[in-house]
Amino acid sequence: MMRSGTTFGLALVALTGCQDVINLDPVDERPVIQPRSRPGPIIGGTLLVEAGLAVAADPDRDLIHVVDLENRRVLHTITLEPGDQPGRVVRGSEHEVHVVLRGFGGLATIDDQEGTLLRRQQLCPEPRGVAYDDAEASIYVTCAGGALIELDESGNELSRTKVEPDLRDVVLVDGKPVMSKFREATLVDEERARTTVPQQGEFQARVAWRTWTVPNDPSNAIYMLHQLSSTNPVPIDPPPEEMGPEDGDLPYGGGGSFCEPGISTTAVTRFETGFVSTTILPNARLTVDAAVSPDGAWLALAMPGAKEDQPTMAVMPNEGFGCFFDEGARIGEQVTSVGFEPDGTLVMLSREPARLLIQSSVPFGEAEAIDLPGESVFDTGHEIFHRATDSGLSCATCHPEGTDDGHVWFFDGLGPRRTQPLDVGLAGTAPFHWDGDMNDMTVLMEEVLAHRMGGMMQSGARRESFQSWVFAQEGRPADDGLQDSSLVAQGQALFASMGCGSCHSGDKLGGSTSEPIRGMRLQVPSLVRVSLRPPYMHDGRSSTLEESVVDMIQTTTTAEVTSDNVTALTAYLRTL
Amino acid sequence: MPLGTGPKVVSPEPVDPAVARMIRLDYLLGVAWRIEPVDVAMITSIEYGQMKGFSGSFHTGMLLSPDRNIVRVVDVPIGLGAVYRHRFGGRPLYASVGLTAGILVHRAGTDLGVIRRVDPDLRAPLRLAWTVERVGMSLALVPAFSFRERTYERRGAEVWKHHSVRVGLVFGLHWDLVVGRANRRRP
Ligand code: HEC
Ligand code: HEC
Repeated sequence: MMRSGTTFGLALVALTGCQDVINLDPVDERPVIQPRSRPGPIIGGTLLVEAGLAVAADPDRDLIHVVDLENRRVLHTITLEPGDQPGRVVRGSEHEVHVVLRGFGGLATIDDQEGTLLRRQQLCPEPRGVAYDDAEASIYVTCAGGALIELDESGNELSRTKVEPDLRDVVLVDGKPVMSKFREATLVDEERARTTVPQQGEFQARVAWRTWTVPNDPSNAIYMLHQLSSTNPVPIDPPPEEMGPEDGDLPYGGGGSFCEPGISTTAVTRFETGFVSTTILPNARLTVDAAVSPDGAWLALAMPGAKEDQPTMAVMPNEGFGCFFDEGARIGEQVTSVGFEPDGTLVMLSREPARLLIQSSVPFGEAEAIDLPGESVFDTGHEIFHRATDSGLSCATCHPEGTDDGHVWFFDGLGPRRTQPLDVGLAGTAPFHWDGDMNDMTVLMEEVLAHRMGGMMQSGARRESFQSWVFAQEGRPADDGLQDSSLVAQGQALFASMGCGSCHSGDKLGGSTSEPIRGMRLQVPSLVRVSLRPPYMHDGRSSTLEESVVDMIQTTTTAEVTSDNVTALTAYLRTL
Repeated sequence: MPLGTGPKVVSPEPVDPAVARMIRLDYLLGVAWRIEPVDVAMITSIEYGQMKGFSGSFHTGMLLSPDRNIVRVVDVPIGLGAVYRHRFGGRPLYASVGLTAGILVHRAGTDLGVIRRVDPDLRAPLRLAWTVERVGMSLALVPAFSFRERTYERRGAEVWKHHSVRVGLVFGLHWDLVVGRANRRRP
């Protein structure tokens, strides 16, 4: 009697102050799928389409396919080295096709008639764009670190010009190379003169996914597919009533609904001499490639980040406010590249399943599929990162290519926060965010993915798959071999002697500790690939690397700021 | 007959509350605070015992949570206990204090279906009752403790929360169904 009384008493005490937390989120419990070699972030735009022929590069499987479009037949498949990551494709002379190898850091040249690899040469740590100059028979390659490399037909380097970091594509206008910058979404030429996309209301152009020209276009127009990011305050603490699964307008996003741009949207800007026009495509999500139909009337878009049950391609009018959507489009593929044949046939490349889709009329029409060789690369972590949540946003919207969009978001209640890069090797650098307010990836997934973005909660195994995918992202150093080595050595010595390394420590040069700067405790940012991502600091207050170094010397040392010191330090930082 | 319309039990002499015995049935309506949200409270109870002095009691009721947007909650307390009743002077005004133990059945309609929980529940009802003949009015303050704090979350944010402590304030009517003389206690 006494015994059971005591037990009962203890049970009551144990219950006292007990918490019963009931989670109303449906948890995504689908099993984890991971291929042996995990795919990298989506880069988009790896397809060359000509009359009757397509050359499709598959960065996930390190393959290049040559496809006969007329007979719906794969002619050749060229197997590259693991990790080569083929990207942009351009036609060279007669039977030559040049393919950028992002992972390998160079260029592959293939014979598309024989289906053979002619050459594979190293150029810079992260090549991104390629163009072929018919008149001069030369090849231009742009590198993330800021180099424009010109090669002759046999691959000999003719010149290496220092342009600006974060170059993306290169196109030729009147024989002169014009380059796009990825995060900044501007055009620069060799003299570093720039053309920008005008501010669109509350939106600023960011993330130039693809820049291209149309052959034989008399207006010499350059097209740029880019994102538009809001400069308005973004609420990050949605009230419960806005969090119903049926609500389109979620915070950190808002306006996932039809014809409403939300906080991030897609646009195509057309640059002509003295004239710039922007077509906003509010229904397009995470659009990584685009093409204009030969008659100029339609834009084909590759949107691999669409929700799983939504089409990942769209055809929209190439004018005005593109508010058009074909609900009947195919689903089940993840389209990453698009192109038109001269007769107006639309060709699309799907990464998973590996397929080429051919649609003979736009905007509407049935697409025919050609299966491409290669194993499945479906990857749970990759999916969670790229697929849109209820708000229309995915992690990849603000962290394109697994890094950052170069945008300073203004979060309600927090203030300006520049997106942090994720390709610095995040393992072991928790807590996350500038203020260190996210203890680990689990907290971040609950707070950012579920709460702010309106995504699904994930099971433990899926979280694990996601985290290991994110942590595996590590970009290569930005060094394009353009910095003066004695200046770099001087800068490195200054970095040590000025005590920069006391905070920017470890092999990532930062990332793990919090330090007070100007009265605010902030996570010390990693300086890996720092030159690629102006503006700097948590609030984006330094628009150039030089300014950020001056800021650091002033706030953390008693040393005098001299232009020699700043030049040396920035030269060193540009090699990281 | 719950509403007191049954055959009247005639008592040969005026009831002396000091020795009278009764069964009291009541219906009370009011609110229950849980620090923040205020629930609508409906309580009914039956007490059996001395009009002045000790009674046994049984209660049940319903606590309706007002914000029914995301979770639609009804809590049902059920329990047994004892009440001590005291009369103020010669007036038909009584004050009582009770102690009950029982359970609080929690039922919530959500997008994920119906969620049920059962917690132990302790209450200490304090009551003022004014009775004329067989019918009267009661005002009760009911502090209660159900041991577990409950939170519903969606997307990492709290959408509904109740503390384990609640205080009810209810007002209602009561009927005394049977009133009779108690057996005289032995000296
Ligand atoms: C609206 C744009 C946006 C979206 C969408 C977004 N992020 Fe971020 N991310 C940011 C910004 C801005 C910061 C800096 C935030 C801060 O300091 O408060 C950041 C910081 C981070 C960091 C911290 C890195 C570090 O070094 O501490 C991680 C990790 C991260 N994001 C992961 C994610 C993941 C995973 C998702 C998808 C679930 C995601 N982000 C979605 C804008 C975004
Ligand atoms: C006391 C610790 C500390 C020292 C010493 C320090 N830094 Fe920093 N550094 C920080 C913090 C914290 C930030 C972020 C500040 C902010 O966002 O306001 C930062 C930001 C930077 C950035 C911008 C990075 C980005 O991604 O926005 C650069 C570049 C930089 N530091 C270089 C240096 C150099 C060069 C030195 C030596 C002269 C130095 N730092 C010394 C803590 C330090």
